[in-house]
Amino acid sequence: MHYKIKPISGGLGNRFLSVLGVLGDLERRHGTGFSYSILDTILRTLNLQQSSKLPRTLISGLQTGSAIFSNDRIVIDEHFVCAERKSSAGSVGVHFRGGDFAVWKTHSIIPAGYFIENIQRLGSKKISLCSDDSMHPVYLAVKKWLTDNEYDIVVFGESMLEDVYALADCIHIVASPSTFSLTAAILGGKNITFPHQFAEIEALEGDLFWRYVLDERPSKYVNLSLS
Amino acid sequence: MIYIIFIDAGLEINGGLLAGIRTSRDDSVLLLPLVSQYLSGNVNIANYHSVSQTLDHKRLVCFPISICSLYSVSGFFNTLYALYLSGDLPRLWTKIIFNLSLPNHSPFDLCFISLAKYRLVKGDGKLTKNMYVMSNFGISVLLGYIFFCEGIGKFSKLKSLIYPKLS
Repeated sequence: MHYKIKPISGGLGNRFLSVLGVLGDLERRHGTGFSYSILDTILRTLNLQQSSKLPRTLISGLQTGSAIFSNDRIVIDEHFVCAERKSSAGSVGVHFRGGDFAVWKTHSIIPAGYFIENIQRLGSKKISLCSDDSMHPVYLAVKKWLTDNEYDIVVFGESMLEDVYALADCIHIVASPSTFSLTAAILGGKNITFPHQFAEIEALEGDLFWRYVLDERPSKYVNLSLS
Repeated sequence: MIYIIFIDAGLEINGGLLAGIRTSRDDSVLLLPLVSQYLSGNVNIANYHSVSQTLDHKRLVCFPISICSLYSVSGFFNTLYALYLSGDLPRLWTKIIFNLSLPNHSPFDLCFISLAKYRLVKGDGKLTKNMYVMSNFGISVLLGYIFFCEGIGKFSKLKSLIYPKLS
């Protein structure tokens, strides 16, 4: 059976997670006895099993939140290009998401203190810094603090794909509440911290993903923590 | 001008490649390690990032892509379009150079070479024999593909405005 997978609309992270959900579901139903292609320009470039066959069945993406908590797990590096898992000596990735977040939900802009406290807690002096909004005051404050405290910083942020793999290469990601960072963690270091306060607000508003994170539901793809 | 290098992800960055990056006239270099399933889908990215720190006046962008994305004509154009969407290709450019130093994959396995739309540049002191320059025709095809894809996108948005219930 050959499937053509159409992700849900949205940013790279949402599209990736929706494809992950579909692939988990297909493997549960068919084992490895299926082939597929992804109807997405960027995900297609990162996919290791892209093939084209007829006839094909079009299948659309699932909800993103449930995908990483599902029991229907795929072996990620058999399907997507991944960053090699590191020993404990690697960098900490810091991803500040600004841009449209500033107008989306005011509480999605996370204060600099959250990033700084977690960088101090994790102990590494090597930091990979990524943001889609390099002029945002919070990002600039974090960057200044890192510079003032003589951290070894590598700044990314000019290329979306480079950012994903720069973060994936890190042993731990301290992130704004973004599926982009979550995708990077799945493709690489597996450890990610999200802001506790944001999770609480979203869970109260009925968001299932953040409810699962608050309940410490285990994921077979990543180690999620809140701070 | 952008200088794109596709390399095997299992290949160490050797002195020759590094010298090629350093001495190229292009101010941006895009290094794309090609990953296959046979590498267990993993690539050591830190190796490549360490190279970028040795370059002073050149922007080096590096991330891995799947080699199977280059096995078809549509896959090849899709890859370049993905680079464009990712912000790695400018909207207008004059030349793209492919350096195919792939010890585990014959460059002729990659379909875009067999398109014969690319001119093989032989030792003129600047380019080595396994570098390929995309011809004006190739650029035209690529631009056509990009405009086609963008057109489809715009058409879909327009359709969703006209027929909101169907979108």
